[in-house]
Amino acid sequence: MSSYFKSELKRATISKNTLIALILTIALYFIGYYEFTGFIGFNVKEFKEIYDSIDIFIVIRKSYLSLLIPLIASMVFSDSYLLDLETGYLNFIYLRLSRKRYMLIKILVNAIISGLVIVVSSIIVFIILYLIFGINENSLFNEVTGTFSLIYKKNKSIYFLILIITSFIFNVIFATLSLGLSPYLKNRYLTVIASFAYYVISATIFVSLKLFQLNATLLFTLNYLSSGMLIIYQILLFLVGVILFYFGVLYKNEKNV
Amino acid sequence: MKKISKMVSILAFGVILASNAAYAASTDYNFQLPSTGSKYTNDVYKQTVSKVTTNDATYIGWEGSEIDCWTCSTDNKVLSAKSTYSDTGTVSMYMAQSLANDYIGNPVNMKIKTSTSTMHACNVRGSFDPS
Repeated sequence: MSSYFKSELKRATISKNTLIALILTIALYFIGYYEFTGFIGFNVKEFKEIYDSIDIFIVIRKSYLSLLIPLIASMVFSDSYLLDLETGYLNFIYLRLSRKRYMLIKILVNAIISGLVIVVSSIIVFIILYLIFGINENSLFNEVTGTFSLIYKKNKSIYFLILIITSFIFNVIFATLSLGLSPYLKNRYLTVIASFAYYVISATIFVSLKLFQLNATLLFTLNYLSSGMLIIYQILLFLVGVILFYFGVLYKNEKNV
Repeated sequence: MKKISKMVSILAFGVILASNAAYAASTDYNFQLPSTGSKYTNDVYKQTVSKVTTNDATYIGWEGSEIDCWTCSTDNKVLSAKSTYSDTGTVSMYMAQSLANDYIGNPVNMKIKTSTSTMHACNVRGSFDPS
């Protein structure tokens, strides 16, 4: 099991999709940065009095990245089950592994790699911001509200760590959701956009039905939800992804293998 | 002669009234923001060298919504960093000090829109003060 886990992890890590997702995430951070600082008369020296690197990171994270992050989370490895199925590789794997072990490894690798994409890209962007703007505990920035905002007021470095962890969890959830839907959709492109579709539906239809707490964008922006509700929603969505994948692989594609 | 002085005093009064309106310290807004696209407040004259313009948000519609706002010139140039808020209260928008100095006595307005992750229309109310 461990050798297959390692080979899958290696396969996912050095894949073209992972590299594209990494570059795309960094690019979206910088588009957010450009939008934030693209006003007349911007200069770093003056800006540093108001915002430090963590403040800027908080702002640009909520820009275009907050819209497209479910797509990026899913494009890394969520279609890998369908790829195994299409290429016939799955028949070969089942000779060596049980289906349950295969599913477990698939879920783990998909979650880890997708989560690491946002963590690595966020750290790269933060290091660049830190070198330019540094950290100023007394910055004038006061836009942090919602879940964990009290932690920001006490120690913004810990708040930054929480942002990184919640970003990791967010990618894990949406990558798993897409993986879980893949046996039913049987189309690699639909698989990549599946969890994004849920993201958009939750932010439009659920909100118009006044189901505000089910707005999945709040899992990334960390507005409005209490920490308890945030954790419950994260666990529920992750479980939905796992259960869908379990039943999808066990029963949906039985005749194909 | 009497007629002329009467006309002059009426004209002067009118000018004073008009300038008072133009130099009002702040302007109220009440918008239904669309899911995409933005709205902008009335023009207000900037009166001081302060580089902080403020948005006193008194109402945000649907819960969990996030709103972006920033200061603009009348010819639509972006004058401040974008600020984002999801609760009522005073939101500060920061300009460069040199720009704040340049814009004293000039009209500015505030652009306002739903943030990228807010995918629905949203009612907002408040007032914009360019300082």
